[in-house]
Amino acid sequence: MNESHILLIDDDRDLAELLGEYLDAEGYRLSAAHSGEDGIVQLREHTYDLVLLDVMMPGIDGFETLRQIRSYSSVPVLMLTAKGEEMDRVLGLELGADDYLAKPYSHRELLARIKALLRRIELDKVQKESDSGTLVCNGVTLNFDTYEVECDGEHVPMTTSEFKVLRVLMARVGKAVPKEDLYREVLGREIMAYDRSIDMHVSNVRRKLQAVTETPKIQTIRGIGYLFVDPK
Amino acid sequence: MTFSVNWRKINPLGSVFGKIWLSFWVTLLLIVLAVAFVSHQVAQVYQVGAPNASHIGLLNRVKLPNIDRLASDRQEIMEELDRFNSESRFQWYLVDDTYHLLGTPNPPRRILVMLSEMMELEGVKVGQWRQETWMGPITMSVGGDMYRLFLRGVPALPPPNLPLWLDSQWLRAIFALAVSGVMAMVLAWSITRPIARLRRVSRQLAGGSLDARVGGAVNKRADELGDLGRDFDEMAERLQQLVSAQQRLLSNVSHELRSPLTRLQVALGIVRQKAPSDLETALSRIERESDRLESLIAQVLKLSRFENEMQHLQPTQLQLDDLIRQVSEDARFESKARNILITDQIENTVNTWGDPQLLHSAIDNVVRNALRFSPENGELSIRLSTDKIEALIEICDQGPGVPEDKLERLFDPFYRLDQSNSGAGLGLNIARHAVTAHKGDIRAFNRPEGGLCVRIRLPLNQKVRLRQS
Repeated sequence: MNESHILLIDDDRDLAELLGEYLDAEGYRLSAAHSGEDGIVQLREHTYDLVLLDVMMPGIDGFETLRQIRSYSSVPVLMLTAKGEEMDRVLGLELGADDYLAKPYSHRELLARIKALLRRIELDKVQKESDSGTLVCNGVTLNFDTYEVECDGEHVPMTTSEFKVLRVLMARVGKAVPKEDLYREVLGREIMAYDRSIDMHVSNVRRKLQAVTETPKIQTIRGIGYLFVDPK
Repeated sequence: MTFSVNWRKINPLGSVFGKIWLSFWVTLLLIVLAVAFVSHQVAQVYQVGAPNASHIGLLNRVKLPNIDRLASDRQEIMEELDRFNSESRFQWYLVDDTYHLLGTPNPPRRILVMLSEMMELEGVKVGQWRQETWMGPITMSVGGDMYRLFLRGVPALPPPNLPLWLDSQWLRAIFALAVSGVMAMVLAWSITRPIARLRRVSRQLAGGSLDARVGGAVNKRADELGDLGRDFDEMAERLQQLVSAQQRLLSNVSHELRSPLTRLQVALGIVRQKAPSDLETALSRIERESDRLESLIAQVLKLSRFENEMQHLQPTQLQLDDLIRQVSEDARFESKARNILITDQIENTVNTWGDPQLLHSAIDNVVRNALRFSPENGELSIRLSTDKIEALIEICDQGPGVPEDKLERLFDPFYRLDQSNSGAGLGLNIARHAVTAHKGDIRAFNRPEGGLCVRIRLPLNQKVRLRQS
């Protein structure tokens, strides 16, 4: 298997050096960009398997960088946010980041997240080959070829993670899907304490669907997870 | 719109407005009274006019004193006048060519002023001074001497041409009262209105809206109140700058402290990859210490941010049971590895007002603290119950408990019972800050069967009280 190529966008040069050495020993190749602008240029010129994106940077910050990256690339992005900045996480996930990790992170946690994201991409590739056509349920249509979502005939823009949330919920329509399963199938990792990624993805999906339709499509099952409403 | 009178505003003991208004009103009234008194005493007090029909009739009817026949013997003339005057309803007086007044009873001395004016005018006039009404002069010569006759006690002149409503003493008093009252009120208003504005703005500022300014009408004034307003705005500007600089510093410090910690973590990872296994204990120790450093920084920052937030709490409606369920769910994940059983008894739909983030972190900190001291395979209970006025949250563990004399100190910043525990000693302090900001109360006690309980009381339905703080 060829080694995965990761791009780190962070203004901390020392950290980039250290991370390079650390990830190299774990079998990954790391390139570094020291500003948002630099990162965007590098992403245009090369292909990467994963981007680690720091939020706090001089010049254009992580959010702006992410917005620009998302305009042309669907590369998986792991946001590195400051701890306790709830808004940062929400904003990052909303802009299309796939997962986030609070700074300062332990090396183990970082490695676990990288592995999870890369594994998920592999899984997606396999799934993409098996998935095709569309899934229609309760007025919502998922198109697996284009990764587009339609609700009541209107196009609803969704990020990759949000699309996957819908896919998992709709595949088990009318049944409560435990949060643990959503983490595993959407983010490719186990749920952790104080982890709200899935809740945020689901609330984003809900909000986007509500802009188009009046009837609620997703219910919260207290203490368990979520449920996609069966119209029957 | 309803108009309600704020009586407190008029009470001179309780408000500047009342003081100024009443004192100016009283002063104005006193001045009016004084002027009225003095003018009554000194100024134009007599009034001279033409005699009307009743006066002419009287003049034709009245008997003249019998003095023509008398020689120019002054003594006799005076005796005759005395006799006549004491018997008649009207009294006659004579003024001689040296302007001496003859006749009894003696009139007030000042009447001569009026009489001399009447003598300068053509023909017979009627003069009035207070209750005295005189008619004259009628010129006659007695024994070659010229005398002018005046008749005292004729009917009064019609009142001067004043508006009818000013005629009555009472109406006049009420008019003076109203005019001076309104003038005093306008004056009091013009002074206290900018003060009220200043007060409102300073309260806004104290409430945390640092962009509140006096501005406008007050600052355009050229007087001392205008100066005060401008100085106040300058102060507010400076305050806003200082606070925002402090907040910027806080976020910079947070970033600057965390970067080296992140590097340390990654460096540790590299060492781990290469180090022989006998270094494991030391490396774990380094990792633990760096974790502790991290949580210390996080909590100090959180505390200072919360202290700032608690100054101006933004209460929203929230469901306390949901919030606690979330905390207990998180605790369950955290405790899985140590096999601690988390039981909860949570009342459904507990609606209250508060800052969700602050309350969450308060309860979460207490639960995490309890988890830290819970023995493996232990049990931790989380309870939420309510009565009419407050919500009661109880978190109990099966840990070693706390010596009775240290219970109070648990909530002090950086207080740690046991120096070896990995906490920063700020969690419970943050909890107390947050609970106090919600007008609640937090207390710890030992359970008789062992273990520590923390009880949080939060008043319900306190939107208004929180807004006012």
